[in-house]
Amino acid sequence: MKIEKIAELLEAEIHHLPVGFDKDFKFAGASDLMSDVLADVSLDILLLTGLLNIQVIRTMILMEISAVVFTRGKTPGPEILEAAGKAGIAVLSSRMKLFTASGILYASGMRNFDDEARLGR
Amino acid sequence: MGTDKKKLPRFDLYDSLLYADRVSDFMSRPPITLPPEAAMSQAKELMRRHRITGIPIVDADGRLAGLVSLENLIIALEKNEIREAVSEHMVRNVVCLRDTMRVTSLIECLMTYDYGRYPVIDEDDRVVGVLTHGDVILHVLERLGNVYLHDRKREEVLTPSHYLFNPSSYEPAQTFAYQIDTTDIDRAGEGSTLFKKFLQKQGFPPEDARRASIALYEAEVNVVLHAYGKGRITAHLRDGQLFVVVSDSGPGIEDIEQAMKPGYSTATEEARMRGFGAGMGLANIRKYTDKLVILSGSAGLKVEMMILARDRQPAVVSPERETKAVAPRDSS
Repeated sequence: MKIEKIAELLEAEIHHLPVGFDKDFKFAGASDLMSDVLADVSLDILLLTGLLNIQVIRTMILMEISAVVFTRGKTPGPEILEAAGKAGIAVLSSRMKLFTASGILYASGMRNFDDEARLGR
Repeated sequence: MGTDKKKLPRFDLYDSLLYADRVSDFMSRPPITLPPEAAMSQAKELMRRHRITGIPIVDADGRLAGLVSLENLIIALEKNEIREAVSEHMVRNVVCLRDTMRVTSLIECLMTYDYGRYPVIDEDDRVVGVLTHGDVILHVLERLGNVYLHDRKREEVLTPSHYLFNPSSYEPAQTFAYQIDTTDIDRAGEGSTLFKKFLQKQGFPPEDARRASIALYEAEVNVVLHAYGKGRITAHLRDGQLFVVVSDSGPGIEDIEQAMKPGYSTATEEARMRGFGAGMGLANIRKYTDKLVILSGSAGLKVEMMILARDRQPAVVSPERETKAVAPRDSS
């Protein structure tokens, strides 16, 4: 699923989209705990989180995750956008709650990152 | 006689590594046994097939009646009595171990007696396993290969080991250093992102650089959340081996065993609000490193990690990079 489609489904605002960003996401992960993300994620996914701070971007850089949706209408500030810009990370925000946003993406075919093995990717 | 010479060197180390382990955790089981009426030729066949050197002889209730060793077998062969019952040839006075015995007592026992194998019995005196020196060695190796959990008083014991590095032998350009600001939670993770760039510049394999940075990130966040005063990251890279040390002057970890458990956290509410304190920190570090040493004491905490380049891409820096690395340059 492309970023534009994700934005449309989640009624999200695209704050930053790196030039030439053309990733097609099959997997997503939703968490407010960055340590959980650090523990489990093994591929580039779409990250959904209700957490809004610079550590989200740092976690993404380390995990090589390239797109994030901040939920609950939390709008990223300049510091976050600057860090994301440098790291080539796509940044979106949606007014939806984390649960709803996840549900909508799931219904549209997106799966949790640890379904990777089960789906025989 | 030999017993007198054997001391118990570094008993502390056994104690700290294996204190909770009992004989039943690593004995061979189920035991290969024979009833007293079995023939010596059967014992010979079992030993050959299972490549063992002794068989406990067990009565109808499962209780130990004796033991047939290789020596008994040789004597029976010499005397041409291989068809006779094992009960005629077995040793009756057998040293056996209780399954609940702790490793520390076990080691004392192994030093006192000189046998190759010991039947293990439960509280009803039934034979439940056999313990050989090989079982003990394998178990200790497994423990050593896993994680080292120590406090500072063990430092002396650990220092000569191969996994601790000697900083003086590293070129300055292959060294990464960062001071952790424990007062500003916003900066938590900054060192790790810089570290990842450093590794990329050095040509460390991407997947291993990823593992190393994640482990460091957790350690760095731990320092910010739990330590006060100064924290420090030092890393050295050579020949595809990466050593990272994170030290702080905080309170240390009260119960390391506990802290290693996923989900265990002592983080504050503020930290949790930031998405930290999931209690995965140390568990994650263990997951992403090849060796981990945690030294906790009143002077603070020291986390030492070793990450080996194991990705397919070349682990050693390319010649042109090497020239660059040796040339003096600023640390940015």
